[in-house]
Amino acid sequence: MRTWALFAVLALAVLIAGCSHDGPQVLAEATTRAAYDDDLDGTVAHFDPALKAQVTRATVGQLSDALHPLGTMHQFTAVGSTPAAGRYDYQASFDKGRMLVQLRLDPDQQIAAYRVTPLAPQ
Amino acid sequence: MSTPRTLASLALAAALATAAERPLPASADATPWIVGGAAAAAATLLIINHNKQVHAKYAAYDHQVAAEQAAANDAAAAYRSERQAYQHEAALVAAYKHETTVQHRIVVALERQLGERGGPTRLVADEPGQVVPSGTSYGWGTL
Repeated sequence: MRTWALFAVLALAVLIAGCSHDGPQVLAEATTRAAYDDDLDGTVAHFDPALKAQVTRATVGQLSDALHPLGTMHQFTAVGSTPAAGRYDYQASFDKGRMLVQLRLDPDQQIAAYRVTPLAPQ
Repeated sequence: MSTPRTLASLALAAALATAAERPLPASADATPWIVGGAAAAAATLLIINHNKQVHAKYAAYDHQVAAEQAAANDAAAAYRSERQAYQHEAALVAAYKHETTVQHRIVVALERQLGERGGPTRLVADEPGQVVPSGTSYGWGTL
């Protein structure tokens, strides 16, 4: 009886792990850090196929060049979201500035749009 | 109809009319439509304000009549008067909505003018802690 219960718990854990998706903030951070590192594959890792098709090495490089003058990237802070529309906004803090990182997730929790905009100094 | 609200609307309309007459710097010659637009907006606000006053007056009158009829046990007449009062109040709400729309258009137009003149692009102060995007946006896809 105990063996069956243990097996059921393990099976449930595996099922949950298999179904889980990274949260929007994790996706935003991972994508932004990859872009900061000028890593094309990492940048598009969570993009949906349509968005992947828009990304080029040159545009990742432009974003990386825009991020580097701000210094080291620190924490991300949620500044707004509309989950029903898959929209999530975060403020990425750097040594010398801030960036607004905006995501739109598709129903499969893949990134369907990703924008980074400099924020006015505080 | 609240007097402060009326005064505020009139003050806004007057301020817009004054602003429209004020000499414009830089590209003033190229923007006569802006002056006309401000004057038209001011006129629209005055009309809306007048309509609001009329609807509010009628609504108050109908309420008073309904109360008198109810006191006289004339239920049907009281109902008609209350209904009429409600319709005037609904019209008043519609007038407020219209006023808000016109004011929003004015704010957007003024912000655009400020942007064209190289000034700040926001007339309304941002909330403390609110993020204010500036500069070029990078990325892919439409949010």
